[in-house]
Amino acid sequence: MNKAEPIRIADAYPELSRGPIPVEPYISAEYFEKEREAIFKHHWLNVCRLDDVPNPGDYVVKDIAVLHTSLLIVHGQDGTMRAFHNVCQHRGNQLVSESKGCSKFFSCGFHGWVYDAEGKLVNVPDAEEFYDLDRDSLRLKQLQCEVWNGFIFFHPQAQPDQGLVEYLGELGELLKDYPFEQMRRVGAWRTNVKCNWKVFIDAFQEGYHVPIVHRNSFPDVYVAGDTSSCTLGGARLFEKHRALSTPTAMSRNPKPTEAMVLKLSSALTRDMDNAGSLMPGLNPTGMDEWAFDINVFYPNFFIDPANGWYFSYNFWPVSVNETYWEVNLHMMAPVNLAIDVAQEYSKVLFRDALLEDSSTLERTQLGLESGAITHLTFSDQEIACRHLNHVVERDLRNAGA
Amino acid sequence: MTTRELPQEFSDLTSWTKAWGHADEPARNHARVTSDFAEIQMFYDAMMPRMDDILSFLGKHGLDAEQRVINLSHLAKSFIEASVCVELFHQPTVPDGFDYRRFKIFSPT
Repeated sequence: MNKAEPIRIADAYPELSRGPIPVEPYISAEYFEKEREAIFKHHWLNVCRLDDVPNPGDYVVKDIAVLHTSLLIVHGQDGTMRAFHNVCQHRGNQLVSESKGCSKFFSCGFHGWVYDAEGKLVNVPDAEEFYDLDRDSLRLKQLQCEVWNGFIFFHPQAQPDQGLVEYLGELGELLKDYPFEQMRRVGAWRTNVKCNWKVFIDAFQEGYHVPIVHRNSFPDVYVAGDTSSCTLGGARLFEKHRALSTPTAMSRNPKPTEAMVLKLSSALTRDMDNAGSLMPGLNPTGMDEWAFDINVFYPNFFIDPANGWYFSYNFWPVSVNETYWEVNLHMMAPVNLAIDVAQEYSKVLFRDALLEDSSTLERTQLGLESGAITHLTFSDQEIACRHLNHVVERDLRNAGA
Repeated sequence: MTTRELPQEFSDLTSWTKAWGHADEPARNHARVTSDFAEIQMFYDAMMPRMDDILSFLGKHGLDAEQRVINLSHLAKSFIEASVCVELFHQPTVPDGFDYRRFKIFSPT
């Protein structure tokens, strides 16, 4: 009897190769410089959420190593979000040194030049000592800044070739009604890892690793049907973004504490018992026994939503083999303290699973840098990793880099 | 000054609050990863039989509850930290995990 040809995700994406992918883009400093110029300087980048600057006057400072700059994100007195280079126009000193705060004015710690929340230069000590001081040309250098569903993005170019909503495209449209605003941040974790940003991202856009890497945190949780594999479904590869859905085994017996919390709240491992209907934008391909979606906004931002919670990742390249990682977990605001405690289960388990994920990254980078392999061999289940390489390569080619 | 007082119904658990009654995730996690597994197991064993009652009680209180109720929720959240050690990891830290000391936990607000 002939064995039926398996259905491949790749069949829908003939433009993707099925062959080995070169290691070079993960380890070459020269390649990384091209990525900096062609990719990170030319895309909308999520920098924080409205929760970080909820009130007029609130600001945060974010160092963006890949752009060699420090950004000052300000919630204006007029309610508008603005992004500035955190650089005094006088002699180039970093204007704000605190990582966050609330202020109507920003005063440089070098000679005391003062700017307002709209970037206007409002005071220069001993101004009469300067020759024809043109205050209008000495405003803080502003970047394009837009807000989508509470996520604050900036664009490094003065004239982006597309607006934020257009850039987010079909994937943004899918998530536009998800109730982000009704959720509160319950977890925030940060770390620096000595690996390339694509090594990092690849570790979070496939399920193949799950039965091995998460054998302790999620034994038999994220598996498809009666298999022991975390076979992702619903793969959709867009021009640059991509989306996948994660399965869960509803029939398995939960652990004692997990069983306790599932009576009260949707958990990381699955939706709560007697959960209501799905929130908008979830499980778009109608996967059976679905856990959560993986939505990757190119180049470096994930929104992974479920029914009652979502997490986000921001992967910030520092150098060819170092990446700064920001993780935030949000959940529906609890109506009582029991649900607050129940949510803690998902938070703790999620955080610990991230430690499992992170354990492979530096070892992988060292392996790639050793020269022992020249190519990566991706399966159909790792097609998102292949897609990322494809989009990066195309961006560099189009930029003539 | 912080108090370790618990609601009267749960006053028998007060002795655990010194080691485990921490107000935020960094402190609760620190208590966990710096404890012996035997200590974690003892705390888990003391709390587990009371968790149904604790959750029923906490279900009647909002996030603006009085301090001793909040204290109980903090203890219950430390139980959650202990539960993954006992039920999944069988040790205080994540087996074969990334160095937790490099993984910075922020208070979310």
